[in-house]
Amino acid sequence: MEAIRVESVSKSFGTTRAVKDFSLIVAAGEIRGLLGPNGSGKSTTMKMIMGVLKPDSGSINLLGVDVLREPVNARRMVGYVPEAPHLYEYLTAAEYLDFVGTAYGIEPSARKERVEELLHALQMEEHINEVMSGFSAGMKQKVAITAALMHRPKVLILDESMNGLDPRSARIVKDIIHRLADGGVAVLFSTHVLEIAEAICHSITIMNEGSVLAEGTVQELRAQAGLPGSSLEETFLKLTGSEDTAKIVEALKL
Amino acid sequence: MNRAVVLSLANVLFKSYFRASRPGKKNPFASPLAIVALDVAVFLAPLLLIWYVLPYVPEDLAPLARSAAGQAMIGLPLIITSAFILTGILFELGQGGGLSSSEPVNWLPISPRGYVIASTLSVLAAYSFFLAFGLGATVPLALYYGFGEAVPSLVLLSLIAASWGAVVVEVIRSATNRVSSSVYRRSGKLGVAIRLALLILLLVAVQLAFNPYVLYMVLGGVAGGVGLFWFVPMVWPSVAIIDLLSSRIAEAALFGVGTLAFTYAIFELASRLRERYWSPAQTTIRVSSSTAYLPAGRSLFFLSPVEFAIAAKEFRSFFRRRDMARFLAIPFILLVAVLLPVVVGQGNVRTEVSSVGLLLSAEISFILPIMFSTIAFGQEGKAIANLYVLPISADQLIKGKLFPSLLISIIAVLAATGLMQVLSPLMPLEYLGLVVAVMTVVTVESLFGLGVGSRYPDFTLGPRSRFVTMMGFFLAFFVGGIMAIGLMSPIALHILGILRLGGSSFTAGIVAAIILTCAAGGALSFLSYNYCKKGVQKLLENLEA
Repeated sequence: MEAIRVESVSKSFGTTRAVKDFSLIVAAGEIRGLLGPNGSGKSTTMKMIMGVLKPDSGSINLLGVDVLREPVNARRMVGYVPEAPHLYEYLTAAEYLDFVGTAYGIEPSARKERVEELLHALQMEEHINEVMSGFSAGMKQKVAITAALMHRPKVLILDESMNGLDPRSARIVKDIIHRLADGGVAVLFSTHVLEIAEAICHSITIMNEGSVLAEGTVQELRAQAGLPGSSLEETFLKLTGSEDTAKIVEALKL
Repeated sequence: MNRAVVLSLANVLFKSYFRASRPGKKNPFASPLAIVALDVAVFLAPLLLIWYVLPYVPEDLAPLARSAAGQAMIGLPLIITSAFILTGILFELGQGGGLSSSEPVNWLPISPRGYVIASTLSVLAAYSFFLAFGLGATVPLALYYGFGEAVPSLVLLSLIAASWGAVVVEVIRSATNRVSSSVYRRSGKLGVAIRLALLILLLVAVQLAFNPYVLYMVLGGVAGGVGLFWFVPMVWPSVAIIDLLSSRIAEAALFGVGTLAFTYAIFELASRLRERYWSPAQTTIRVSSSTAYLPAGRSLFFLSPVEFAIAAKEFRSFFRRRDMARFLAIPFILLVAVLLPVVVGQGNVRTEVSSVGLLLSAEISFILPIMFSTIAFGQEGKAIANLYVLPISADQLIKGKLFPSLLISIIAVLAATGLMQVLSPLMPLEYLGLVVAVMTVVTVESLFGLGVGSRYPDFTLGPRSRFVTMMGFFLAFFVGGIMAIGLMSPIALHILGILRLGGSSFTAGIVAAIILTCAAGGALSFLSYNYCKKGVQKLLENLEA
């Protein structure tokens, strides 16, 4: 079953074309990696899928709901962790999660159960009644992950969500993602850490300059790059045309 | 202290002020040259106008006009300082603790003195149009009525007065850091409440210390030969001008030197405070000692749980964020500024209390809702993204955002009108009319302000953040002001007519005024709601923060 369907989506900011005629289908239970160099259009694409950015053309469907027509209904099914979560820092973690839980319409008893189990897993329960302005980046990330998971989403969009997490929490989040996918949740996952992508994702879409450059499993991507047996890093650099990094470093005269 | 570094930092702060709210867009005023051009224009416009009009002043009014010219020269430094401080409180303190502690100046080799000078220069440049306009309006009067020899001193003393205002803003900035970090270490809800009270007290005290009315009173004592207040340094520039106009050169020089010494003293104070409270310590703030999570699922009969959750978040923002305290201080500043002349003045008590109460009620019913609602979206900063990714509709957002603005404003206007009613009772129907008028104004301004805030939000949380663009600010205050005047006029004219002209109250008049106010209020509320709804819907379509 298709969970995410993006068809011929384009988005420009002034004269810059951030996303060009982009299409993507992610099935329920699939973990799709979205890779690409900085500025390749990954975050813009994810924001359009979330319905927080309006595409100039094209259509986006989440589990049969047209995101452009019914963005509020679409968001009820999605959990989203942004690249750098901007939380309400003057709230405590509990107050923030209460706000999010209320917006998703989760009953207080269910909220308590889910928040407590997630915060316990991420070792955050001690900080529940602290104002978040004093939190480190990793702690904020854990709160954002809890907020994205507490309503049991059917689609999960993670935009470099492992940033700042300690190894234990990163491992737990990876395991959570796998378990959610096993339960039929579609996951769209963006990262610059290619080892994580290789370890987590069932398939990968590589974006460059707003378009799909390559798509498939890691094996298929290696074959497309003509580098069988290579690492995903080498494959990625080859496909994006940025493999000649040694010369660049040499030219720095450091 | 490296002069090039200080000038470079001043330039950065200055550009940050103009560019922060419009990332990626070119601001025509974001260059020193453009500011100079603007200042020249703002200086020349009143100068030429007044210079052109003065020859037409009738002969018999000349002594009065000459006296007014002298008063304008004496008062200019006081007004300039006050204007810089008030503007500084409103626009320059919009920076949360987290940002203050992560500012690049904290880890660059820039001394506290260097920072204070740079910040003072940037504030002076950003608000130099106050000085240009004040001088443009005063200099032609001085030249025309034969005070030309005092003009160079007037310019110099006014410039010093402006720099006082800019330096005092730096003092407040450091003092609020101090209040913030020391009180928050105590933590808990009490700590939050104490911090808010102290911040409001600090802002009101500074405003009171540099209140033109208070300083004019002090000046009156000095000018009248009482000499009681010669030791109040805030009036020294004006005293120097008084002495100059009376050809007491030695005394003028003495107060001129005193002015320079006081300038150095407050600069030193600002530098020391900056050195000591360089940046607020980011402390762990525990609102409750418990580590248990107790979910809240509250709602009110007219607010759904989601709308209530948004409203609760807004309240917490107002009460917990240091950069929001200045907005909560505004009603208290207004109260002090408006009530002070009544408390210390003489005259018909009933007329004074009722007139001032009327003015205060009108001011609060206009300023509070328009201020809180125009900043409602911008103050979210980048956290506005939360509202985009959650399943929240435009209607829910409007209700949730509107409630705090309405509630705070309604409490404030009811307190103001209630106080007025206790001190100088109006007839019940007149009082009812006044309450209807202020409530109508609060409703219309809240809706209109939210519409403006959704169209012109300034999401920048950093140095010089304002939460609403300058365009939005002027639009809200100009259009909102006209609507407030229009809505208050029927009731206010009726009440003032009775008070000032000694007429008797007649039921038909007040009833007509109430009906007129309700009809106009209903129409404007409908228009403002539509304006607001379209703005919020448009805002939610595209995440621009």
